[in-house]
Amino acid sequence: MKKKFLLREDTLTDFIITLPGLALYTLLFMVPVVMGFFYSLTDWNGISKKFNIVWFSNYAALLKDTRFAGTVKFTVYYTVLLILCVVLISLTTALVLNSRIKGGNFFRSVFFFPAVLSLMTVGLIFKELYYRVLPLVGDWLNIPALQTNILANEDLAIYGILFANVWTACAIPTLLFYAGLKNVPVDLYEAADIDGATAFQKFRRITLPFLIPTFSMVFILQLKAGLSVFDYVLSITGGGPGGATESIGTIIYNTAFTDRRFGYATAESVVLFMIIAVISLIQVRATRGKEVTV
Amino acid sequence: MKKLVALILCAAMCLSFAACGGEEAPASTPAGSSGAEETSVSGEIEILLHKVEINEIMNTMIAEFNKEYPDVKVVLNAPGDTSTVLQARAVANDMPDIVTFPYNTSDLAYARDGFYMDLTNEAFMQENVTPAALESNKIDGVNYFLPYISNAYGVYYNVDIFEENGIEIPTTMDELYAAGEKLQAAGVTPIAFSDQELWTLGHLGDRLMGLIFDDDGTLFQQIAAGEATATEHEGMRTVAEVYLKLHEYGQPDSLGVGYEQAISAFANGEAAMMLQGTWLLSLVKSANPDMNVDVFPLPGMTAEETRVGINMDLGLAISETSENKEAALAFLAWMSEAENAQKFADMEGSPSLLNGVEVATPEFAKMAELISEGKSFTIPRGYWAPSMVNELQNALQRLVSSKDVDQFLKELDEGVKVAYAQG
Repeated sequence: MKKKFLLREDTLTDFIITLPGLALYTLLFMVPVVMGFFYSLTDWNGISKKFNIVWFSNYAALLKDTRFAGTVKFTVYYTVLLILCVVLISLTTALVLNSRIKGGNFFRSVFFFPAVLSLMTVGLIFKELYYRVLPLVGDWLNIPALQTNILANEDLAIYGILFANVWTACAIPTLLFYAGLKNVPVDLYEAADIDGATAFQKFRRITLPFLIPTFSMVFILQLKAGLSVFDYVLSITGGGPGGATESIGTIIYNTAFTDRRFGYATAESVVLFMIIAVISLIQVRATRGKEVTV
Repeated sequence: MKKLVALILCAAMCLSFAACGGEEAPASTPAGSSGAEETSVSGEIEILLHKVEINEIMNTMIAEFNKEYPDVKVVLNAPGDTSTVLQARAVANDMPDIVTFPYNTSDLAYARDGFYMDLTNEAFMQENVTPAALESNKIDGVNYFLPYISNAYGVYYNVDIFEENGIEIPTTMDELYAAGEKLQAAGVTPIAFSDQELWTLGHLGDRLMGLIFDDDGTLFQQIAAGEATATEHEGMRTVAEVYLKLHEYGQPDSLGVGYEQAISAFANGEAAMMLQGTWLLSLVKSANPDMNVDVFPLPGMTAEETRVGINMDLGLAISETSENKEAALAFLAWMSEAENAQKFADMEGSPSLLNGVEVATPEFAKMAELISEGKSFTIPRGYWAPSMVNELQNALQRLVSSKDVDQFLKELDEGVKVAYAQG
């Protein structure tokens, strides 16, 4: 009896301790989410004191909106590429750094450097590179696609944005993977060596399982970054040419601040929220139980 | 979340009003434009300025104003991203006393939603503003802002390059094309476009629509109502054809070129012309102070048809909820007096919309001459639905990319339906 009572008191204390955090979270996160959903049911223009509740007609219109469908397609494609590039490049870099190469500390700082730059600055730097430098490289290597500014090309502009994004986005995942690799017990590798495992087998059976929590984290971070990509698009292409690189993030911004259709813009962001929520949920379910904990 | 922020800010504001309510001096004389002894006007007014580049000039003007009205404290705010700032303040019921205009056509919504005071019958409006400016800046028949300066759209050209190649100033569209051919043959890019920036595409587009078929908004209304189509509209087709023809003289990859990049190409002599508004001059001059630059009006299909596309660049509105309308009105009245407006024009240089103000910017002389002859038109975007500019810009960017006039007109028809369905 006594023990049970104690437990309940502990729970209560725990609850009280978390109360300020819970209150802040509710106030600053849950309330806006609920209000945002409410506004998505209206035709509010962002400034007016009067607006009408239009129920789900914003969502109905969204389903038929080909421009929005185009941005969803672009954003999903972009996100897949972003995750693939970031995971592959940062994992490779981390493995190389972990193999005790000379000047490891130096390279760690070099690879981390892009992370301290502002997104807008990086975007503008790459915009100039594509305008001034890349065409020269194209001339030199005689690649016709690169001889004109790739940002002017509907098919290539996306890779211009992606390249700049990957350049900065790899920094933190590299560090995360590097830290993850440090967590793998060395004796497992030694045991594997005695059993005569190949390098690939060691990677597949020992390294990878230890890195799965890191994978999940990097995956979710990049997923979120990819699906809500905004700054890079705005600073590098502005959504052009001809809307070819318009992402869900930029169309929400444009609908809200250029077209002054806040109700519709909130409906668009609710859809984005759903997409992220569903994918995250699937991802968490899929990797659960596959990781190793030390 | 907006509501919540609004509530908190409202509460804060109520408190601050309560606190300063007692100190406010009683207002006695109604504001007018007579310029007589009105020093009894007092209080504090805040101006939210969208043109960051005239910040200094406005401060000078305010200092002058304070010589006559020492008891009015004027606070000037130029935060940069005015559109967003204004929106947050409108929602929080904390509008600045004086708001400058415009940023986007969609910001006309403030006037329509009753945020601004009706200035139509103020004496200074009737006496000091040119009748044409009053008329063309009415929204649903009401003047909500004091039209102050206007911008005008023309062709900036590098005088040295024109002289080296023996090119006369084009007076018709065909002559402009011929100049382009000549420059291309000489290995110079004739026109620097910045087609990555949607707004620059839209500006050229709606100026051509005004120039070629004097659009006053009816075409899009008719398309929206299903009474017409852009595809069958001869004027709109000509606009698209001229648009493409002009782009033949642009950079091959103009779609990837940003505004600053185009300016630097023009200012450094890599391109001979740039199609832009009066606001470009100071930017070109700061990019290359030694450049020999001049401006000619964007020619019409014939010399007689050449007219200058103008648009209000700075207007001053008073917020309906201002606590100090009297001081705000006094400020507007003072600004509109010819003598003070002249001081402003001497510093700023854009065409003025007020009576009796001479603007002596030599580069704009040719356009100013046409405007004074009545050969000007108000750019059509003000007559369109709020998101129409966006639809047009995107369609134009795709036109430059695909070079397909029919496809463009079809997309425009669809774009109009989308924009006007949203109201």
